[in-house]
Amino acid sequence: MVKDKEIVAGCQADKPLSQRQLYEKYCGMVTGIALRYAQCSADAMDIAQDTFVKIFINIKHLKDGNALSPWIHSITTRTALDFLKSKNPSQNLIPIEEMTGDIADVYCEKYDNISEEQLLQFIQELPDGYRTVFNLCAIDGYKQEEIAAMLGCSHATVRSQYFKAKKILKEKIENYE
Amino acid sequence: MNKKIDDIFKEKFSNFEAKPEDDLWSKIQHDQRWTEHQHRQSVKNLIIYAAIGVVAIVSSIILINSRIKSDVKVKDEVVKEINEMPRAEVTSVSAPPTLSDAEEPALEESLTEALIEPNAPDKPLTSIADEEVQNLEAVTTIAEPAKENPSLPVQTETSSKPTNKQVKENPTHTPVEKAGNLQNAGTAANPSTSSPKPTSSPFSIPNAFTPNGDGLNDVFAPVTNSEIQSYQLDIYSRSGQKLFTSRNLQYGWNGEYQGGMMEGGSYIYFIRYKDADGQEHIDKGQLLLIR
Repeated sequence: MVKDKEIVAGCQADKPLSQRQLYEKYCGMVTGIALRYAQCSADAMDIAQDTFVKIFINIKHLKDGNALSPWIHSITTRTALDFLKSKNPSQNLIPIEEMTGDIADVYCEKYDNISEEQLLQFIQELPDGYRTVFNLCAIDGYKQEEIAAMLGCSHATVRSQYFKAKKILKEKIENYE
Repeated sequence: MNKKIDDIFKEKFSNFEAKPEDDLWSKIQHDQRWTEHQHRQSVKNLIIYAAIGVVAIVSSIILINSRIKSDVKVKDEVVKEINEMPRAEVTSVSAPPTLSDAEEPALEESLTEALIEPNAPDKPLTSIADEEVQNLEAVTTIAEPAKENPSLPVQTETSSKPTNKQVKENPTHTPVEKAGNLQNAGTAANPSTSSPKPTSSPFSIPNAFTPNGDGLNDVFAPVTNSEIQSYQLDIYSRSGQKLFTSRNLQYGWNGEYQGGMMEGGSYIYFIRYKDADGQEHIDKGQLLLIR
């Protein structure tokens, strides 16, 4: 496997071979992230395409060649958010009634026999807002405050969307079969 | 087993990878933003390369120009030096360095006027230089009293010319004999004071060398005991062509130019150096290549 440092150096020198190497190495990761954020695989492919174009144009700003993987990860995430916003500008603006009181963790049994593809489909079936928050918070590890800033909404909105997303997913898993 | 719903998804998807559609790469390649960016990039590179080319050409022209100018300058200096050289010296076999010749009038002035007047136009002096150099030590010791005695010049003013002729006619004079003459005449102190190297030069420079491989005087190089900051020796032919350059005191001229041995004759040397105080000097003169 070619080292990230060499790939970055090559891409910064606009070498087609290095660009191809970067694509081969990271297309799986980018596609995986895109599928989680997108509503369908067609959208995911658009996100992936946008992401790689952004990567190749902006890679000259990447200083540390070893940080390529997290850099691509965050570009993919942001590209996905931009894509969703441009596709459905009003979605994130729909006010969701803020929940008060404790938000308990949501537990779930009977998840063992559910395939990855099925879980992915559950995520994709979530409404855009819920899906975005759930992805950012549960899988990509952003803090709720950060997500609120990224999406331009209040922390309470993020928290309630996250909670609702989890509830919906639990129902889907438990009703599966 | 109960598990938090977020953990379920995190485990499954934090390193989730999926196979993209087959045409993703070609879509990226034909993405308008990407192709436009590449186009801009190549135009940018073209401009940069063009600018580098222009800068390189301009700077090389400037460099070549300044080289030519400085070469012309040095050549002018050499030609001037050759023209200034007295004819008699050029033909003489072991002529003394021209600098000492130039020094002659100055030294004479420092003595007495009575001495200068008759001797200044006396070029025959140079023809006995050979002998004078050989007898240098003897002559200098004897010359001392002549200088110290101010009454002598006045006394011998009229006899100075005949004495010189006498010396010239008898080139086989022994040092002792000549010393006797000098003491009487008191005038021959002039050639003797001109023979030592000028005190301003820290170099002792041979005036001839024989590059025949016998291990004796095969290489022309000045010798010095003084501290020299920088040094450059240039050898020119009489036509002003540069034959040799050295910045190393240990590395002298072996009489070769472009792989061939130069023929016997006289050549010009220029020694440019900075003394310990950083003062720049030029020593110049001619040397004889003997075959």
